[in-house]
Amino acid sequence: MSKYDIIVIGGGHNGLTTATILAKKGKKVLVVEKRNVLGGIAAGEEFYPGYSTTGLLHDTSGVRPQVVKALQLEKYGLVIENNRADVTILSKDGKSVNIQSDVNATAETINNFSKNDAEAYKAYQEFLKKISKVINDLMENPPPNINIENLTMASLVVLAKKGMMLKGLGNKTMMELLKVAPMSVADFLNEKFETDFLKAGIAAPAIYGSYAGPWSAYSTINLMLWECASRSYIKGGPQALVDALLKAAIQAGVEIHTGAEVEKILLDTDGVVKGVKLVGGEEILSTKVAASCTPKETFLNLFDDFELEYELDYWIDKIRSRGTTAKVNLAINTLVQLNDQTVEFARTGNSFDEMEKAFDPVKYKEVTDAPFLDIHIPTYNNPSLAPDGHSVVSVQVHQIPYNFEAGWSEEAKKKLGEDVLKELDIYSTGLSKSVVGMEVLSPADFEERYTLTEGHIYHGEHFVDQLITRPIPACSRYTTPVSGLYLCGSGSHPGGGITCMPGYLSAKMILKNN
Amino acid sequence: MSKKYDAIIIGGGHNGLINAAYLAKAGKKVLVLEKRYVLGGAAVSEEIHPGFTFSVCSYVVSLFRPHIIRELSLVKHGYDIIPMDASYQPLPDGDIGLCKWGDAAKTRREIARFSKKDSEVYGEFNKVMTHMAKLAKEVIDHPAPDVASINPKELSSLLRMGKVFKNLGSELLQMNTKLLTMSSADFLDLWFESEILKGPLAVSGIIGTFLGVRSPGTAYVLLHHYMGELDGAFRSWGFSKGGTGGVSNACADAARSFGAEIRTNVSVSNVKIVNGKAMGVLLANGDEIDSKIVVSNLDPNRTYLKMIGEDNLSSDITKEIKRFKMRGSSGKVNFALNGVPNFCRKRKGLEYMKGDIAIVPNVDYAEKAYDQAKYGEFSERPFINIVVPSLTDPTLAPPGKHVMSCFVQYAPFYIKEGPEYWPKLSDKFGDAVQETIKEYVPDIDSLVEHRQVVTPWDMQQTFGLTEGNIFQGELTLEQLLFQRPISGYAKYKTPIRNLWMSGSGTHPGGGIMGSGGELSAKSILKEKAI
Repeated sequence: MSKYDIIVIGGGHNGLTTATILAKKGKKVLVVEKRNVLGGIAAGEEFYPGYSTTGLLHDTSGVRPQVVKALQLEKYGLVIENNRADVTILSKDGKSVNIQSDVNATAETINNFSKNDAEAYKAYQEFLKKISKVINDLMENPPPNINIENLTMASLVVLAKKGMMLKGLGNKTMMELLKVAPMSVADFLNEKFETDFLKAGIAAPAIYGSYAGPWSAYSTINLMLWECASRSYIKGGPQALVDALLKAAIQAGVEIHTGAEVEKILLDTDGVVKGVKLVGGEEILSTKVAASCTPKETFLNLFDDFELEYELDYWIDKIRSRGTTAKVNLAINTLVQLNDQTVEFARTGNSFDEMEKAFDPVKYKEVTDAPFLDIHIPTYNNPSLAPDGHSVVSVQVHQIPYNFEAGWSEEAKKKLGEDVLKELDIYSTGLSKSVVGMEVLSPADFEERYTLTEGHIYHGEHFVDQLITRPIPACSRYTTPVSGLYLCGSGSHPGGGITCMPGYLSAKMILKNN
Repeated sequence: MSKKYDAIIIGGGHNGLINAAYLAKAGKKVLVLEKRYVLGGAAVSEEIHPGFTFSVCSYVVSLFRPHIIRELSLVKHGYDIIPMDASYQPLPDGDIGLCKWGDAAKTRREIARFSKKDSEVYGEFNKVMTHMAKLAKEVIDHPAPDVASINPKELSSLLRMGKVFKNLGSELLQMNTKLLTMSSADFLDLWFESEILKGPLAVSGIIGTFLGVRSPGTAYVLLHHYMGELDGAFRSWGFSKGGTGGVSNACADAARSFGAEIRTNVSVSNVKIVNGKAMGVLLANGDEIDSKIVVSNLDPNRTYLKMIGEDNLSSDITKEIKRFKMRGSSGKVNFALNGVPNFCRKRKGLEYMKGDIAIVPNVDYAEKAYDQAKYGEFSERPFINIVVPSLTDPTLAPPGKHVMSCFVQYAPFYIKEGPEYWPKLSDKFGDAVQETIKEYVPDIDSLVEHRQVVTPWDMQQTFGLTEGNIFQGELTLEQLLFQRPISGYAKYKTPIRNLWMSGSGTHPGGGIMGSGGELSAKSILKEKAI
């Protein structure tokens, strides 16, 4: 007789979300986390004595209000606003544009460079507003239950409903959506805007975590998904979310074991889940396991050969999750300005061609020496993350491949750090001279530290065939072909980034099934 | 006193000729006007050098719809395709390379030299691709359904398409989704390991497209080339007897036999439009010819912006048509050779050369060629698809001599100096191609009697292909089906009443299929427009 109704593998933000929702409905939940720290890549780290980040990832704009409400996170101290944070787009020649959630205010700043682009920005946001109903319906609900071989009346109704929603956009908007979705962001934005650095900055989130450059087809889909989802702002960064989730979890009665690495998921003689075995030998029994680690980790590493069906192993193995992100955390002994602005979030890129050139070497397992950067300065809101008058600059670096032919040696990481500093110096002269401490995490480090397969921050590429039916059709609604095994992490719909949605939707599916 | 025709077709390319043939066969009075001295558009044979017949642009045939051949009795009119039995990939340094044959066992043996695993999977791969190509044929052989409409006829058309997908089963449907969206390189990585096999397969996904083998959205173009059929033998490609122009000439002959009138050396300025209706055409020399309808075989850009003119279009439509991407990415270099260009002296005989020869030793080679083009340069080491059709059709060259046709990527229309600068780069481009071939055929320079370079600029200026795009518009998903060329006008009509379109810029797209000409003609007849 098992003590637990369900074991959740991984205490990242999705794992904690799933656990808490189930616990609040009276389930006995155990979370097992490999590290001694909870929060996964949403967890902040003291990367250098006296200097801390608020997360490996920065962006909290996708945290959904329905999850905050369901878990009462505000009661547990979460401060969250219903508008996205300002992001400053930097150009190499000193200009910048502050993208705010207020569209008109943003258009006014853009007007300083280009009247055309100011108007274009308003039209662009108008279009996004129109399609966001359809997009968000797609991304905030479980994937539709459609078995193509057994098309029941119910699934036809679901399909028809989705079709009607699309039609509800009106012919013009619907056709426009169908037209632009397959396009590259470069083509899509070139149709509207003329200022290079502005276009590059707007496009950037579509490229983060993608095995793609701005000239890659379908990247417009990623841009639209990000834009439509970005409606929130947690000043304390991802760590603040983790803190609140943890409190909520404990209050709901979730049991959490850290320093507990799962070696294997256990199956009984009928192939049904019966629990997990930890590294070190401890076996914990439960008839249900929800894995928030990557699908490849779950199926290819936590089972023995031949325990799973060939088909399952085959398609999971074929999932593309080629990591292209690295992290450089900087301890700076001054306050930091970028292009003479005091900012919290900033993006570089400068032009599509430069971003494309940063991606080219990835295809040949090489690395650019001019990466583009996604910058967060958490000391902007919270000076106590560093000594008085000092700063933390947390940089997500793109496009840095996991598959680096020469290998991620200390040498290679040192060079990466130097290249990032060289880039930053463009926007903040002499910044590199103010560095007192630097941590460089390569995609290989991501894999090692966080068990992120191939260092992929989203647990698998956000490409069309790996969205919705995510990670693979057989596992797309959080259940899997293995009886009692569920998926609840970023490797499931609606994908990665810090949203809590996979955790939330999977928990609801688990409750529905039980 | 000008005669009044039922239909005037602007452009004597193969689609225009096929459209004319179908209309004439139905008893209509038809006139085809071709600007050049020769018919065929880009499916044309010309004697560029005395005694040598060049397939100047298109060089192989396969996708030509069999039912069109039957319905227009094209064989009777000279349509004659010699099947290609080989597909050869040379490797530098004199290696024997890889040859794929019509014979499956022979092919397996060749592949096994590089990878036993691949040789075993190859047959399965072909089976799956063939199955999915059958699905694609469903789509190309009918006009595209209009998704914006709730007209029951359109819905049933959509349902029919849906049914075909459903019948695939979930395994193949999953594979199909991947095929529709992935890059050809990624898709092939699902199946194969050897570069020499993947390289040439991958490039078939980027022919005529301004994308790389690692670009998403290229895998399904791979399928386009799997839809080829000759005499019902699936996927085989062939040479037209007398060069590719032979196909167009057969179509012209058929059209004439049904009573169509065809004039060459006649340039059309624009369509005569009165009160939003097409009434005929206005020629460059000032003459006017009247007709009940006009069919433009020109690409969408030329049709809308030149033949119709912006003044006759709403600003919305003008904006939409200007979004239709052309972006040519290929060039052609044709050679008259005074001997055989032997790509592999280690192989006995020349059978291996009687198909196509693809210079693309591995996937990275193809991608690097694309990388250069992205930034406005032609590839120094391009992917080249070569045929020496005179080996199977001796009528193309004097005895002992040969024509060698080279399709080259990438040659971007928009080079960094601006497209008008192309003529100055023409020789350099030809040299880059010749230098690349030299790595495989060391004595190539001594064999060359004459060289013709066709750049994207030439394709635009001479053959009327805007920006040198060989398909009259990119074959990317947002420009196909109900969006080809623009949504609302994807069924061969235009915003101008009685003005239709028939070229590759319409559904189903480019390649020598004949579908544009056929489906537009059938639509015209069904609607009783004339």
